[in-house]
Amino acid sequence: MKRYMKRTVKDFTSHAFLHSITVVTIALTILIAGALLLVVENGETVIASWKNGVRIMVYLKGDAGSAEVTEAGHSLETMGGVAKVSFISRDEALTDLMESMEGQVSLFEGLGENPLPDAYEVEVTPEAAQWDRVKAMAAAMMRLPAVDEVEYGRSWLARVSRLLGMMELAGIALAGLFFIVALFIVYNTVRLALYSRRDEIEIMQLVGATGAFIKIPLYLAGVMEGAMGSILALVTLFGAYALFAAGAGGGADAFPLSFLSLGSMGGVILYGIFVGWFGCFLSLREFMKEASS
Amino acid sequence: MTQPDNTDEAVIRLFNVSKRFGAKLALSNITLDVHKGEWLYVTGPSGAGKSTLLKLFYLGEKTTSGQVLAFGTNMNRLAPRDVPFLRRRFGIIFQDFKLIPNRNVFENVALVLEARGEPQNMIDKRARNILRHAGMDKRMEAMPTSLSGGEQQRVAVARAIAGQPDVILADEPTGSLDPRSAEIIIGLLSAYHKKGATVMVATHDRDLLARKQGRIIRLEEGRLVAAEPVTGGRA
Repeated sequence: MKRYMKRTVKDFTSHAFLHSITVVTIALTILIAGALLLVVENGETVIASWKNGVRIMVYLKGDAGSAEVTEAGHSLETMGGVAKVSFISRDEALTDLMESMEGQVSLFEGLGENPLPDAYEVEVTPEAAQWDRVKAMAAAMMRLPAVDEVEYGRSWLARVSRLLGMMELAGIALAGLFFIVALFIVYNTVRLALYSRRDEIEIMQLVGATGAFIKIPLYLAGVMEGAMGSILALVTLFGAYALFAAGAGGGADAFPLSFLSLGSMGGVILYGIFVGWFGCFLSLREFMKEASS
Repeated sequence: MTQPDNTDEAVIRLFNVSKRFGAKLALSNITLDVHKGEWLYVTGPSGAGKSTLLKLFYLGEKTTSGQVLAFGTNMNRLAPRDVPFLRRRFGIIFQDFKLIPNRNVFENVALVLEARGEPQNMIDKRARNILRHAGMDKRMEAMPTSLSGGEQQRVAVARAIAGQPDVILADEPTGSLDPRSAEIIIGLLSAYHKKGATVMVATHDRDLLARKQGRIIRLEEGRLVAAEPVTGGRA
């Protein structure tokens, strides 16, 4: 294997231009697919953070007795899709409101009696954080005797959720498509590279070189090209991401951006290696068939 | 069916061999024995089938009909995985040299030994030795494109004999060379032939044929029209 490695490295230096073209081609196609993957991953983070933040406010009737209030709390806790239930008394609610409207305390001066009702804050599990499900949960909560009013999200959030979901699907589909495109581009590039070395391979066959002697360095070259191409793509993508994240400014606060996860980066590199190997496999199979016919 | 010469010393035997390329019949019903240690010229006009005949021996082409036996092996029944091992018993020389352009002189010769998995120290020693015999030891680092035609053919001969094959197949080895370079090439082949190898040279070079160095067979339009009897074979 050491001898094959040596031949592969030597081949890289003697066919530097040819190998560079293949590496850059792999890098470009993986860059596009990687960029889509980055969008999908960040989109998923946004959706996940929104789903984690879904809450339903359940306002209780002013004349509800303490037994009814406790009963409503139990019912909410045992309801499907509920992660956490917190009781907020009308006094706590007023204090919170006054704190949030600091500087406009005069508004509360002539208030007399506290107009706010007791309430339960219901946190929805991420799995249940879908518009239709939340709507159904809210309807069930409304049917509890102590409940006066239920407030949950806004319809635009539902639309954003649906849009992100569609983006996620489209992103995955596009990334998959570009990965397939990468495979075919690499296959053609490797095939062209092999054709340019047709005479060399023919001479090797004539001097009694076995298939393994001819193919192993070409496979190693394919794997190296794939690894180098995907690493180049990741470095370029990180550069572009860093520039974008720096320029995004305030936007970055609203949607915290992150680069590809370690798992995804490993996946991209493995995919690059696979593309290099598989492109080589397909081209060599066709080429050797032609050469021996 | 015509019977070939009756000898146990035949390294290659052809029985009623024909080769067709589409509508063109390149070789027609050839029966021939090539004996161990003989020097054989295959002559005839361009397009007579000389190169095609040589290609059949190392499976550069397959027969359309008939049988080719090389070293007792029927080439029609040889498994693809065994072809490289058969080819190692042949040293092949071409008119256009067929050197690998991005490998230097030493590497072109060493390739034959690398392909056989020989140890590196043996490869170095033998390749240098052969190149010294070929008078190319001072140009071992040179790339093929920087060499003259005669020098390139010397490297090609060195490559052909590096693996110590049983048979040398030379297709117009002097066809594109000046008389002095041609003399050197034939000298190198003769030296290897004297060690006991079989040499087959396809040529229409009258000067070579005039040497009366070995047996001459003549092809015309794919047919064997004249074959001298075997007379011992050595140059």
